[in-house]
Amino acid sequence: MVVRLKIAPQYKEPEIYICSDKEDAKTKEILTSVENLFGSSIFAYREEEVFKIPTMEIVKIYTENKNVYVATTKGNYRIRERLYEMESRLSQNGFVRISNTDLVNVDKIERLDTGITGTIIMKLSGGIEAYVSRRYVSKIKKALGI
Amino acid sequence: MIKVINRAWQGFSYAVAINLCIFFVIVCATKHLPLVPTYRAYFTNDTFAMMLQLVLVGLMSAVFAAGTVIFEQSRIGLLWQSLLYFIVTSLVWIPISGFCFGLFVYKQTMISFLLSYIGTYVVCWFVAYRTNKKEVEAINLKLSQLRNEVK
Repeated sequence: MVVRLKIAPQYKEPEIYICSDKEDAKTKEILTSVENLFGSSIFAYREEEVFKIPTMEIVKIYTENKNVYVATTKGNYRIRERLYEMESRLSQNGFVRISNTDLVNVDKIERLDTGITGTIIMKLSGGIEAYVSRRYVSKIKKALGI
Repeated sequence: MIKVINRAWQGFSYAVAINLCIFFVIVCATKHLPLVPTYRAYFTNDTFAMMLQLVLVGLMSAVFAAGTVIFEQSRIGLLWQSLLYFIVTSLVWIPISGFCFGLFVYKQTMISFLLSYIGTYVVCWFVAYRTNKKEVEAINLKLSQLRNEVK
């Protein structure tokens, strides 16, 4: 495994990227090790089962029917915290609020699409989508360093 | 719902307070109540006419303020948000303006006022739409730059 250190002014905080041509057991192991060393995780629920979800695996956190869910590429889980609590807890971990109902992981944003009527749809990893409120566009820009 | 009520109440309070101040200044300066003659003609009591106008203007502002929640519904686009807001607010401000400020007394005035209102609305919508598009393009460009940096 090659380990590189890149020093550049745009990195205001240290960032770790694991680069590979495929996601295999080895990359997962590295990912888990780094996550355990530096990252945080949250407890989520699915059918009475409790799962420990590393925050870096979360694609988005959203509210639906007054419940709060965590969406990952492996599926959705319910959490007990409120969305605003998750926002204050994860804002330092690269999460940004994009509407009244959605909080997304900036690293999982693929692109934004605009509809003819002016809707903004955010395309995220794993084919997950979210609608963006215009009032939160400035927050997204700030999170991306624009 | 609480947000809607809260905004409506704020809109109502601010409008009533501001209009009350304007009324007070005009009355002090001109010794006349600032009421349009056609509106005044509906009443025998000037104080009641003034109070009702204050309440109606407050109601109009309440709808304008509460209606802003429409713009927070991200699932409907800017076009539908603007149209919905336009319809909801027009349902209130057109009859109130007509009644309190004699909007419908002169046909030409009414037509030019409505056209200028709609025109302003269309221009604002177009500017917002263009800004939206440019911001999305800037975000997409930044995302692709970040992706290339990782590579």
